[in-house]
Order: sequence, then C-alpha cells, then structure tokens
Amino acid sequence: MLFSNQKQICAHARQYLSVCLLCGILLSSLSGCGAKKNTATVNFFSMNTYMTITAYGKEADLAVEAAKLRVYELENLFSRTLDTSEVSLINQNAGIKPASVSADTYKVISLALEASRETDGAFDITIAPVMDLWGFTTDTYYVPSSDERLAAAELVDYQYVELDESSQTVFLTKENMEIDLGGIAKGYASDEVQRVLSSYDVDAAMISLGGNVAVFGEKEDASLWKTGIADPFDLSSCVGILTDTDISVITSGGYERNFTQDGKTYIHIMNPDTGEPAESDLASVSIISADGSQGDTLSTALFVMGSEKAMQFWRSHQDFSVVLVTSDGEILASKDLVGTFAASEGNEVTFFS
Amino acid sequence: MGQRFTENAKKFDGDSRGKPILHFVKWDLLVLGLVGMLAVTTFLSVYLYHNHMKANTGDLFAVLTVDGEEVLRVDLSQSTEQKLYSPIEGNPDFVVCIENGQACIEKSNCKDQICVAVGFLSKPGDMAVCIPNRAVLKIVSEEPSSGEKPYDVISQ
Amino acid sequence: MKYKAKDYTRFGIMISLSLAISVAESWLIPAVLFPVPGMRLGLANVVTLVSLYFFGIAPTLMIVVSRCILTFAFGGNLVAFLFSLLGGLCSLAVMHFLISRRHYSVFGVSVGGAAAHNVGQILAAVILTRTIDMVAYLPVLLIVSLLTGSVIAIAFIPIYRACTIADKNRGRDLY
Repeated sequence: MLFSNQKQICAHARQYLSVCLLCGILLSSLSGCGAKKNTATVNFFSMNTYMTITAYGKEADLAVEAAKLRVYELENLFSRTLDTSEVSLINQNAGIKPASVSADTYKVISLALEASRETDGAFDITIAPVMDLWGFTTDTYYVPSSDERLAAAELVDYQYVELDESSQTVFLTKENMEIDLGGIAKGYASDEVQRVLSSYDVDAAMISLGGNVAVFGEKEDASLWKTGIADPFDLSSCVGILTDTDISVITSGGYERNFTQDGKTYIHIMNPDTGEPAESDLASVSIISADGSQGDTLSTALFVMGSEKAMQFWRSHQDFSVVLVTSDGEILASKDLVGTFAASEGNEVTFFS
Repeated sequence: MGQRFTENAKKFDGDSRGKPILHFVKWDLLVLGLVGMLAVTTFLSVYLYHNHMKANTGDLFAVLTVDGEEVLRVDLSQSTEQKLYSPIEGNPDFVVCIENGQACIEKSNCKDQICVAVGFLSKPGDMAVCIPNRAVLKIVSEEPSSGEKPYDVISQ
Repeated sequence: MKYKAKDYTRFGIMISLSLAISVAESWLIPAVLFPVPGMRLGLANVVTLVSLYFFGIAPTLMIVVSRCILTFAFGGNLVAFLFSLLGGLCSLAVMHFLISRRHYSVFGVSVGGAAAHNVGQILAAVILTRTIDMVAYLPVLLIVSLLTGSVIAIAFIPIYRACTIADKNRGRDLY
C-alpha cells in the first residue's frame, strides 16, 4: 500500500508538471508572435469628433495611449463648451482683464493670430459670436437679421486680441468678444500626436482626427501612405489619392456642417468680414503640409477666399500644397503635387502654377 | 505518509466519507494547481483575443446579440448625437444608447440591473451582459467588408 | 439509510443556516459586482461542507436544493434560482468526488467546490446567451474561488471540532 501510494503520487506529479510545461511552451510561443509585427490602434471621441490613431512599431501600444491622453489634455484646455477650460476663461474675461494661460493655449492662439495676419483676416478665431448667432455652437440653427449680423461682426477682428509673452496672458479687448479654436485645435492636436508618437519607438503612424489626417513613416510593405481626399459631393468616395508620407492633409468644406432654411443652405464656415456664411465658389479645400496647425487654418482661410485668391495665396507662399474642388466639380491642384496626387477614376485634375 | 492514510482508513465504519483532514496536505496542491491553471488558460485566451481585436485597425461597432443572434449593429464612428434603440422585439423597456463613440445599456427590464450598472462601453472587447434577456452588448473592431480600399485613410 | 427524527431536525437546521448565510452575504456585497444574477461569494458552502462530512451526499443534496428553492421564494429572481441551483449541483458533485478520494483535505475540497460552482454558473450563462464572451469573467472568479474556498475551509475547522466530542476509545464522531 505504501509503495503504490508513492508511485501514485509520483505519477500524478509527473502528469501535473508535464501539463505545466506544455502550457508554458505554448504561452511563450504565443507571446512571441505578438512582438514581431506590432501595431496598435485607439479609437475615441474628443473635440466633438471621432478620432483614430494607429501606430506601428515596438512601443505602439504605449505610444497610442499616450497620444490619446495628450488629445484629451488639449481638449480640456481648448474646448469652448467646457466651463473650466482656458478658452472659457479667456472668453469670460473679455473686455475685463487678461487671462493667464498655459504654454499650449498661448502657442495655439499665437499661431492662430499669425495665420490671421498671413491670410489678411480670412481665418479668424474671434468669429465665435457669429457662430453662436447662427446657432452652430448649440445646433439650434437660426437665420439672423442684418442688424444682428452687423452687431456680431463688430466683435470679430483678430486685432482685438492682445497677447503678452512675458506674462503668458491673452486679452480680448472688447467686451462680449469670444474666441473659438475649432478652426485650429485639431490641426494643433495632430501635430502634438505626431510629436508624442515620435517620442516612442514607433516606425510609422496613421492619424485621423475627425477627418484631419496625418501620416508618417512607411507602411509594412515599405510603400508610402495613400491618403484619399473626400469628394464633397459624394462623401463615400474620393476625388483623388495622395501618395506621400510625413504630411498632414486637412480638408475644409461646407458639407461638414450646414443647415437649410427656405431653400437656402447656410454653412458653418464664416466670412469674418461679413459675419455671414462664406459665399465661396469652392466646395472643399485640402491643404497638404508638414504642419497641422498651418493646414487647419489655411484650409478654412482659402475656402473663405475663393478659388482665385486661394491660388494667388499659394503662388505667393508655396510652403504648402493645395487641392481645391470648386462648386462646379472642377478639381484644381497646385503644381508641386504632380506625381504625388492622382485623380481617381472618372475625375480629372488640373494642376495650376 | 502512506501509514497515516492506512490508520485513518481503519477507523472507518464502512461509509465512503471518512474523517475530514483538517490541515493542508500536498494533494490539495493538485486542486489549487488545476484551478490556477484553468484561471490562467482562460485569462490568456481572453487576453490574446482582446489583443487581436485591439490590433485591428478597422472601424468600431457596437453589437447587440440576443440568444446568440445579432439584432443591432451601429458604427460608432458616425455617432455624434445620442441615439436610443429598443432592439429587442416586444421589449420596449430594454434600451441601448449610442453616443459620442460609446455604447451603453440605458434601461433594462431585468431585476438586477447589472447590465445597466456596467456603464459605457467604448473599446473593442468591452461588454455588458443581461442574462435575463439573454442579451450581450459588446464593442467589436472590424475591417470594412468592402475589401481593398484604394486609400489607407481619407481626409474630409 | 434510516434517518431518525433527530437527523431531520438537523437537516432543517442546516437548511435554515445556509439560507441565512446566503441572504446575509448578498447584503454585505452588492450583487452588481458579479456578471451573473444572484451570484454570491458562496459562503453558505460551509454548511454544505459540514453536511457532506457528517451526513453524506443524499441529505446534502436535499439540503442544497431546498436552500435554493427557499432563496428563490424569498428573493423572487428566477434566473438567479436556476444559476444557483446549477452552480450548487456542480459544486456538490465535485466536493463529493474529492471527499470520496479521501486524501484531499478540507482545503482542497472547499476550493474545488467553490471553483466548480463558478465554472458551472459561467457555463450556464454561456449556454443561455449563446455567446462565448462570458468566459471573460472566469479567470477573476476562479482566483476569487481560491480565496473563498480557503476561508470556508478555515471556518469549517472549529465547527467540526465543536461538533465532535472526541471519544478516546473509538475516535468516532458523536453528534
């Protein structure tokens, strides 16, 4: 009895150990599988839109999570609908006193003002009162009278914004003025996302912040990223494909947000001079550049300018590339996109210089 | 150790129970080991499955299955305003809410309300289960079924 | 086996004790922590364990089933009743098996029973919802069962000692 008991114990112990060993081998081989081709994606909602960040590389998982947190951080600073944000603080102190802000907010506002100067006011973050008037902030759309429009337009001028670098403050000099960073926040955020991702061991990434796209690195098969530009008349397809990397592609168009009343369509992109939705001959503007903030501001500005002035602007600056789609469906692209941008089937693109 | 066993066995009165052993014995390691290994195996299979889902660069969908059959599928990337659904036929009190890229079971007619208490689901693998309704709400990540797209990402 | 009147009274005590423990533990820990309706820590298993060692499988079966029915009668959740019944039966089967093997201590038996209880419930949930997803809860529940099983075994020891008056001559339990 003694002998058989010991044998039994040994037999059981051997069985148990061999099962453990088998599991161990299985597990290590499975975990090894993951390390080679490492990719991670996060999908989340921020700045009132749907965002996707995909990274490729050894530290992809960590990188995308860190990038997501950075976006949330920026949202907390820039959101006008959040009472505790720095933008809200600035707006609440309009006409009263300068508001003290953090480095990010200061930077993004100075970039915005610079863009206003460059585009001669076509891009203007002080457009907020006009957006409120037309109901775009609260989704309660309204067609205001011309008096109301003029009153709101009075508060719009980027020159009424005073920055003090030494004290890092922003002052809206006129009472009831308000700023809205919607036209630059996502562009700035995409630059920050790229910065965060690059600080990790990441080889390539594909970012889409509500349609604001940025790509860097090469795909797994060593080819360049293919970024489509949405057809403003049929959002499920594109007018053309950009084959390039290390770029940000930002598109603005009236199709994004608008409302129709009495047969007329009013879009969310405002003309800062008139205080009304921009009456442009363009359906969409896509800016291709290395800088996301620049892409975001210029896409809005060039839309407001219209095709002629937009092409002029490109000629005199040329530190970015642009694709324009007119209301007639004509596709115009800057000459430096030859070889990079190709129109999709059934479409024709005219390169301008 | 074998001797102790035989002594105990002699004390029996013929029924199959015997005196309970009141202290930890080596045999117990087998039980503990089996339970531990089962826990580890199930954990790893779930973990690997989740990892596989996370690596998927497809779109996120909120899917509700009742009795294993899919009754609701919503694309989270299109969800800005709040949308409410009562996807179970004949059960208007079971409400699924989709908002801001998240899903949750807003209301349920079950007694325990465990499914409602789970709150918002946003990442692939997150789920809320309502057993009385035999319903499972979960987030899945799927490659678009349209196959090869001519582009990797679209700017709009 | 012939049961005397005193046996039946003891069965009754077992049933009411396990019922009381079951209800009390549901107050202590909110049921929302668990994925399955009516899921509990399983502390009432200490009564099942005592009953198994003292009375054997048949009376214990009756005690467990009665406790489930009564919990349902007082709680009213049909789904919870089904789950606790299935879990209880699985747990009973495993514990009876382990006890009959005779070389497992109360720790082994108790942990095995707790684990079997959880596996049974999750299995029932998987079959009911027809999705495999419920298995995601299993690892946590199993680790918890290691703990609760040990706690119940620890509680069992003084109970057993109190119930047995060691007879120097026969070493047989007098109860």
